[in-house]
Amino acid sequence: MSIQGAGNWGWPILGVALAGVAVVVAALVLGRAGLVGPALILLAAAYGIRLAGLDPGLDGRAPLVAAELVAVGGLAYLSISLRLPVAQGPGVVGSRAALAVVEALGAGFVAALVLAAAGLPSAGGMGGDTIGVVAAAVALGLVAFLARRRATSR
Amino acid sequence: MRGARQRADAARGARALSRSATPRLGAYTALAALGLLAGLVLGRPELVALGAAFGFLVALGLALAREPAVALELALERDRAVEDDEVGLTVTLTGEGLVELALVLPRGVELVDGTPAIALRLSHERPQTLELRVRCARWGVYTLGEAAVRAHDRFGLYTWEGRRAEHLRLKVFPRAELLREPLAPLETQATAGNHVARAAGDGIEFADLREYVAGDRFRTINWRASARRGELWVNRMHPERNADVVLFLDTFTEAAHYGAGGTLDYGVRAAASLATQYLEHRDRVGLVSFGGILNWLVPASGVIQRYRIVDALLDTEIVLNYAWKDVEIIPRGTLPPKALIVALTPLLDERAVATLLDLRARGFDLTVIEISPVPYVGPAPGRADGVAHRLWLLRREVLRSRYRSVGVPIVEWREGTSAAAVLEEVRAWRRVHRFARA
Repeated sequence: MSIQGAGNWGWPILGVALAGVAVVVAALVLGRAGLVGPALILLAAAYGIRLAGLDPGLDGRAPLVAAELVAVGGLAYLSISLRLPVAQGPGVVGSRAALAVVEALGAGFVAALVLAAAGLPSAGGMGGDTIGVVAAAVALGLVAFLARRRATSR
Repeated sequence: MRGARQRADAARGARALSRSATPRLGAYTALAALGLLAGLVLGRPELVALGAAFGFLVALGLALAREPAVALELALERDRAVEDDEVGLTVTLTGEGLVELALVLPRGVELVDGTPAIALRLSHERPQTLELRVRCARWGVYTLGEAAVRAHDRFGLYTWEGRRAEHLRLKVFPRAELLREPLAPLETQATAGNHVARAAGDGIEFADLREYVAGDRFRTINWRASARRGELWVNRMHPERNADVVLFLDTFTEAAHYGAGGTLDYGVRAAASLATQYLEHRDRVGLVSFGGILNWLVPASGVIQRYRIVDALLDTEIVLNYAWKDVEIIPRGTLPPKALIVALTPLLDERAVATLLDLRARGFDLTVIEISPVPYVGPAPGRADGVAHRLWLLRREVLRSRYRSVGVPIVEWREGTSAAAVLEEVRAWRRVHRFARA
């Protein structure tokens, strides 16, 4: 995550980011899954501080940052779980690592969608209406899916 | 031992598993909330996008998380084994998702081959099978089949943990040492057996000669002696008879290294070896387990008695008890007259010591094999402790002298010595002292 163009916010960004990295390292070294969450919050906060120092325009790197944070979190949790004295069956580690990558890509995609929606002109227009309809349909579909899953699990 | 395949019931479903949230759920939820809040406060949609990404993962994870139905099936290759034998254990898992399984093995059963804890990705179409081998380190009756199960949802937001217990019984018999010949009893019984009796009668061992009387069989005439003396003389033989043997096992207390075998293990193995040996010689063998709990088997012969004795030995354990016990509590038929009593004892409890002396006073043919606790009890550091340890050793020597003074052979059996060597020492003592008494 670059701190270029962040003006006077350079040192605070670096400090918070380094703190986040240190907490991740501590989590991995000590094997404490509870430290991964605070580490991710620190890294996200570093990005937030950087945004505060930027121009008001949208930063197109947000989806990338989201994917990176999810990847760091997913792989850190995986690494800590592998430290237990439990042998891993065939294909288990590979599938879990692959799932972490897919999560990261999915998170980046969702962030990109949200950013794209936020980047549309506030006056609306056909594009804005379409996205709104699609978003509403997706939300309703998700609710219906959840309701159906609850009903069948009973 | 019979080779039998034993199958346990399938697991009872996921009802016994308890669900808990992982740190990941809290972390992602916090990131989603903080991202959305920070985005609103600072007016930066990028932070909203960040929060939405994490929120999406949480929502998807919660939607897809469901309690897994893990079924566990265990099977033992056989349900009986001897110490140091290896037995195969098959674990079959069916279910869905990522499951971690940790087998809990009782002390005395060790894993030889395979991993006790493993993570597997299960699917209903393809059950996963684990082939393990366990070594029976110590005699006893074991219940196998307890396992800790932990299942994860797809996104690692929840875990379900619980224990499954399938009751597979495994009987591990004590390792019997091959003994060349058993201790010969002083007195025999009236039934045919393998011991040369002291009385004269029909047999193959020569006893002495006597003059012929009417009614003696012609084939017993010793022609050479008759020719020398000018009148008929017949051979008298020692018949072969069986004997009654009672194995007296002191189970009041034992000395042992922590987590390893001790004096009780030696006693049980020696009892199994002696019982096997005497029963093969067509003797009647009984068992008295004299301790916190009294167990006894009336002397009998045959293969069934061997299994009874071994099964009784498997149940042997030290039960602390402070009530005074003596020979009066032993049921009458357990100690037949003229029986050879072989006592296996560490001589640590006064009650066992007094009972054995009482048995000798009642005229029983008693032999004491002292399973020495000395290797398990070292002197504590300190001059006074060293003196106390030497005093304890001296007291034990005095106790041995007490037994010898009443004609009881007592041999100290130390760790590393074979039972055969100990019995040879007893035999030598009895040979010398029988000669001395005669």
